[in-house]
Amino acid sequence: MEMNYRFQQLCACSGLALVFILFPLLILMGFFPPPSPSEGADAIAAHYANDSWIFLLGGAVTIQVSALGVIWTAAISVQLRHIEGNLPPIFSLSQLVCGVLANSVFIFACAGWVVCAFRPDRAPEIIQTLNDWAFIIFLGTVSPLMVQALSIGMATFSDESSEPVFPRWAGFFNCWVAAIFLPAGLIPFFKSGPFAWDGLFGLWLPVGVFGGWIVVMSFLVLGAIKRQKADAFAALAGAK
Amino acid sequence: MNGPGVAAAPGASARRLPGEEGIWAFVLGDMLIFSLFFGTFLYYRNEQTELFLQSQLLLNKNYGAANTLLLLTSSWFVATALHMYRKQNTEWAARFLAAGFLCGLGFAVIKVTEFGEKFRAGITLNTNDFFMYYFMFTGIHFLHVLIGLGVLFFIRRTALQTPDGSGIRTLENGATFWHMVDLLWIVLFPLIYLLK
Repeated sequence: MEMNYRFQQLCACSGLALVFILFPLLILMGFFPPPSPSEGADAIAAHYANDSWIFLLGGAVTIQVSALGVIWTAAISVQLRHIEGNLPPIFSLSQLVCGVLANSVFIFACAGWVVCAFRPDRAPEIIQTLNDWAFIIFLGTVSPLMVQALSIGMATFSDESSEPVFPRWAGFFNCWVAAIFLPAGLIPFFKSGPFAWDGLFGLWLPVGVFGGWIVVMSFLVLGAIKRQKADAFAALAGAK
Repeated sequence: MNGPGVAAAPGASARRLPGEEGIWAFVLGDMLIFSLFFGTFLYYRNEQTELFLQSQLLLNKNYGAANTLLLLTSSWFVATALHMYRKQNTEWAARFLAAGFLCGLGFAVIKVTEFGEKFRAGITLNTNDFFMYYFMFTGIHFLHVLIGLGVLFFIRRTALQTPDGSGIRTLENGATFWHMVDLLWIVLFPLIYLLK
């Protein structure tokens, strides 16, 4: 039993690990701010030619750490399963599949950056195409994350237990997070301004809130696991 | 959705926060985002004042004014509905909520007509910066109105199902969200349609 709870805690912490690995790598790769969507092909290609090893390293590591995001999703689903009890596990399932989809999207986007840096002497138009592709997938695919957050939110609202798994504010918080992600879905329509992929509502706000959301949810899950572990051991001691 | 005992006895509810803390945190969070929208709009407007003023002339102020009136009326209906519900007059509470819903629906119809007119006139998101903000901000607000209509529908059902008054928290949460939608429009309308 000890082992099970330890692994749950590890999965919950993997969200924190993801944030602390992902964000420094993105900063290292020069994505804050990223190459502007209005830049020409030559300017885009120059980014990859100048720092090709940083993109290779950053992209390759980021692809591998996506597993951290997936097991973090699993740790949340275990908690949603607690809320559902004997009811059909719709919230835990939708949260799980959306989290897995969000992480696979992530892999495809990073692959775009790695491929750009793999042969930086390619024709600039090809590099620009892959760069567009990577950014539009990375920031523009918001629906899996939105539904993931909304699943957590709705499950929290449906919690009728006297000791709820997550506090009720977490339900509202997750709805708010889903709302913040929304404008990033509109980046294909803009090449400049605050709604473009280098703008306030296309990049800074959704990515910043994404990081904060993972940290907050990781701590909420860790707190819930701690309570459940104490309850489980108390029940075990009572049975003896 | 709410635990038992939240419908406080009459008189015991002095200075109680309507709804629950969570909805107020959500409303403040959402208004924070809209404040960023307003700030962004003013910043870029300052850089291209002439373009923004000329583009603004292409907007139909009557639609904007009618929508303001509709949302204000709707908010009044919803507030009255909650008043009725607290007096355990469920029947009239449901009627006022339905009236509030219909006003919101009127807003949606006018908004879609307005967007349609702009598209037919060849004005889109990419026409210029003014119309980019116009479509994005009023569009995101429109999405709030649609969600709010769902919320009004939901709390009307809650009111009918809980004639004993036990659904008050849920009704207050829903009404708070709807008032926020109204409030945001009251800032958006002068900012985009009227500001000289």
